[in-house]
Amino acid sequence: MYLESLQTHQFRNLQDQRLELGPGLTVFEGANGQGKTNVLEAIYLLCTGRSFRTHGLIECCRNGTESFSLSGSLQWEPRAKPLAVAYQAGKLQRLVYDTPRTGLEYLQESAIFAFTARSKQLVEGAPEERRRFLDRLVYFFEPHHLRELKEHKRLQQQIRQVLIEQGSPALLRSFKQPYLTLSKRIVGRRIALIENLSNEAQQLFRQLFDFPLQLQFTYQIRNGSSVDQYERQMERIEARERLFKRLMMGPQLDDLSIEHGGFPASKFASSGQIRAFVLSLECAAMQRFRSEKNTDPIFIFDDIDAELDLNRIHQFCSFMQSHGQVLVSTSKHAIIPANMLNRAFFVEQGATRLERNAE
Amino acid sequence: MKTGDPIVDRLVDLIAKMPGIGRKTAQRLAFFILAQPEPYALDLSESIRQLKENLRTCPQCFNFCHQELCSVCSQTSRDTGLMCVIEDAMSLNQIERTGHYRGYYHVLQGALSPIHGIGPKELRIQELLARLKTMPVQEVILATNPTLEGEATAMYLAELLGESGVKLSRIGTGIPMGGSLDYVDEITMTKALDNRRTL
Repeated sequence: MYLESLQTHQFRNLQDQRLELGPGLTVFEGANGQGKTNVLEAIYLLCTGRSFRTHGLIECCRNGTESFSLSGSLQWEPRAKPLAVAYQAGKLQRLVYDTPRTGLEYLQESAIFAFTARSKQLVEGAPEERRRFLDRLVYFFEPHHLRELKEHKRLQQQIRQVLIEQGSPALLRSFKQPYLTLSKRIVGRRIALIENLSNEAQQLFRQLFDFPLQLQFTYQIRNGSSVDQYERQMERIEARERLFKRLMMGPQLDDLSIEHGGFPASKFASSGQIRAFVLSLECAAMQRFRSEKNTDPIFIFDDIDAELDLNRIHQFCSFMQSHGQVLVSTSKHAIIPANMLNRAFFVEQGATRLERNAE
Repeated sequence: MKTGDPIVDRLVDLIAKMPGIGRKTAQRLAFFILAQPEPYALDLSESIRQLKENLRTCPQCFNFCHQELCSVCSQTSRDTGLMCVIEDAMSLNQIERTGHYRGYYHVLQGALSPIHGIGPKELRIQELLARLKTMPVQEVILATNPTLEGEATAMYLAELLGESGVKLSRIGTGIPMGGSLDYVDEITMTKALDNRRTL
């Protein structure tokens, strides 16, 4: 799978332009503040209908405007399909073959993984970041996961209201039963994903980044120990939930512990190591995607030179060369050896110029 | 997204309150009405007025009716042993259209949704219990919508009616007739498998 082209209109500081893209490794070079990340953001937004930087899409409109649009052609065998997103009057319209799609439908039209400035939050950020990361990965393999998360959130709201109003036990049970079923399914999927990716991520961590210590991911169920015991543990905690008028067990409260050499990564790992953890996990997920779907997802890597040393950048690029379409940005010229590159663009003041095309 | 004309904007505001209609569609409908000959607009407003003036709620099942009882409750030939519990009158119409169901109905006038202030007291649940005491009902079919709130309402009623001795059933959910398994989403498929029947 790869994006063949990108057409931008009034998107951030980018000039209205059309980029011809292709499979393999593509680099966007340029000084700081020229628009490299904006190009990657445009690609991500076109593929997902979401930005990796902001929830307020009005920020993506060029200064002085209140709308933008992006379009392009996605090649996913057996044919290319036209994608487009258009933002106007506070709303984003998502189109495939010029036909509107809902947010969830649109997400399923492509598969794109991204490593951005925010990705390190997986280790350094709040538990919510780790849950979001897990759910995003689960979604790639089980698309209905997002729909169930949405339903689960609604159930949380209903139960919270019953607890606040001290509704009858029968009323609470009528919402708690589906809550329990959905919670078990969501937690089960997250745990299965972690178990599935752990070994692969560990191997990649050593192979790509040459860090010798053991990397360990453990899913932590708040106020519980395992999915098998979920029902019993939820029953046990119900009296306390009624007393404190809030839910005390559920996937929205869980966390993912990441340890490096037996110590919490957030406290003891260096910035470069944290980058390497997240990249290893992302790459493990991409490997699994490839083996399940028989195609590589698109991969975006913003600021490849930040915090990783040159040797590790080369090792990583060499590995990613054979992984479908990989789009990276860097402020350092020629940091990636020319023989690894398929395409190089130079970005200056929002204009993107093709510098090298190996095809 | 105002048109600038207070009369048109008022109509747009009123239409936009309807379910499933956003401001853009409301505006399109308002301009459609404006473009029609005058009798159409008068007819429309008159029928809306009559809807509120002449229709009322059936005191037995809480469907809407013109007379003392609704069109279903006034039929004495129906099966008194069957009671179908539904959320609203629209569901009743849908079931009636099939011509397959011959029992009576009970319209709850909504589904449990605490975040919208709808608890058991806001629904016609007490009236349902009272009817079940006076009617020789053998089976209650819980036909609330297969949404979160509809399922919770069905579950609540199932617990409430569990000890009454009456047979309880839930309307089936799953793959639509004429549909292909290729296009069914995972949740519907799971439901269809859960609700499978022995042949």
